[in-house]
Amino acid sequence: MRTCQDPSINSTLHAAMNRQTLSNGPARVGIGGPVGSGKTALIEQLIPIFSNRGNEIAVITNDLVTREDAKRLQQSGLLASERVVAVEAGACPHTVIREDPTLNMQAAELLERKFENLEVVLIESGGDNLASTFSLDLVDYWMFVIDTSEGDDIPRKRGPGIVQSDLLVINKVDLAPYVGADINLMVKEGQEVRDGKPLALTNCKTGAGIQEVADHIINNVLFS
Amino acid sequence: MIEDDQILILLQHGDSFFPSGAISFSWGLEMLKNDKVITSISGVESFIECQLLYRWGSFERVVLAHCFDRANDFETVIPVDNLVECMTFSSELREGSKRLGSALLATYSKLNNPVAQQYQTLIQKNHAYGHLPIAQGLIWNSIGLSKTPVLMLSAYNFCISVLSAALRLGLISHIDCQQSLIKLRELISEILTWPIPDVEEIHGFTPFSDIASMRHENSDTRLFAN
Repeated sequence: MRTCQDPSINSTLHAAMNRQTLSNGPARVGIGGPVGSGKTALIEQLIPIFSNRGNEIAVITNDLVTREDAKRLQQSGLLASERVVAVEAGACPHTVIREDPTLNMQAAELLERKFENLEVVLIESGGDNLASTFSLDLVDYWMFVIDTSEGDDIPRKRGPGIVQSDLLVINKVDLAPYVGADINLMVKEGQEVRDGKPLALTNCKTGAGIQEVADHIINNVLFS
Repeated sequence: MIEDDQILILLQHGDSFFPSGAISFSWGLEMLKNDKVITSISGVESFIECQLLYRWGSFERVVLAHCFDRANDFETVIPVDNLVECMTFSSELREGSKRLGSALLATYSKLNNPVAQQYQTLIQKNHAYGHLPIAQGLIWNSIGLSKTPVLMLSAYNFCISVLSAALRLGLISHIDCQQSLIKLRELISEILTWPIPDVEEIHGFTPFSDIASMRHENSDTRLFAN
């Protein structure tokens, strides 16, 4: 495969090729990251943005032990409950999104058959460590969510999730002063280890920065 | 004796690296652990032995052998698929069998296997279910395996699926798993000598795991799909 020098263009090209070759249906967007970093809260903020644009959306959750995340989204009123599907991870959240994503692919295909106008499927990984990544057979585009309270040294630890994701989201920016996290340092080191691929700062409680995340999804996999 | 050209195929399909989806299933073990019915390695081994003797050997093995022999005749295979659906009482065990069967078919469909693609189409049109032993019989026949290795592979995959679940549930260690697999070889070999009865004679009697998986349906705390 030929590559170009601009990593952001590579990311877009890669997503476009995936969309063309792997899935003619809705765009599949992976959202990974550690427990408590704000993945479900991010989804809750993204749903209204896509709904307001007229994009049909569905969500797959990979809860580790309970159906907490799926229930939270089903009860949120943001989305019809049948558009939220939980896939059990068998204690290995990274495995069901990478080495053996068959059950998540099955869930996505079921949603695609059930809702023929579906445009976006958000696939939320069960909380995992910094090493988790998504199979490119499963998703067209994926982001990794960390938060400031985990420590401002997280980006420079260079986990595959931090380095390889199409978009790095640093959430809970409002908490940084209270936990002694230097956001500027996180951004600087995040940019360094990601070789120029984008990152976004968010506060999923207030919605700050969410539009930027949505724009990345729109520009990379929806194209309109 | 297994021919050399089949060994690599067996290794590929007996490896947890193969994307089977099995990692998400415990076949009732999780609930039995949560209920403190199974708490140790001996309990795990008894669970697997009972499953092999009173379910896999008398049910899945027979279905698999039957479908393997008739893999080119969907009209014969589909009624057996229906029979498996009707005779698997627990919803989670029934769904588990279908989800894993569909996963195997989907993987091979993406690998451009025509048998997988045709049977997958029948499932999508609600003409078939795609239970696991059905999918195994169809696919493993189509890739050139012979019947005895196929039956071994099915039994082995079931054992490592449960042992792997037991490991993640904290019931046994990684060395225990290997010890158990060594012990289970004898039982698997013995079951493989049993004659294959007519498919109408399939039966199973595993009440502990059946009831456990039924109770698991309403459990809020779950690592596994069954």
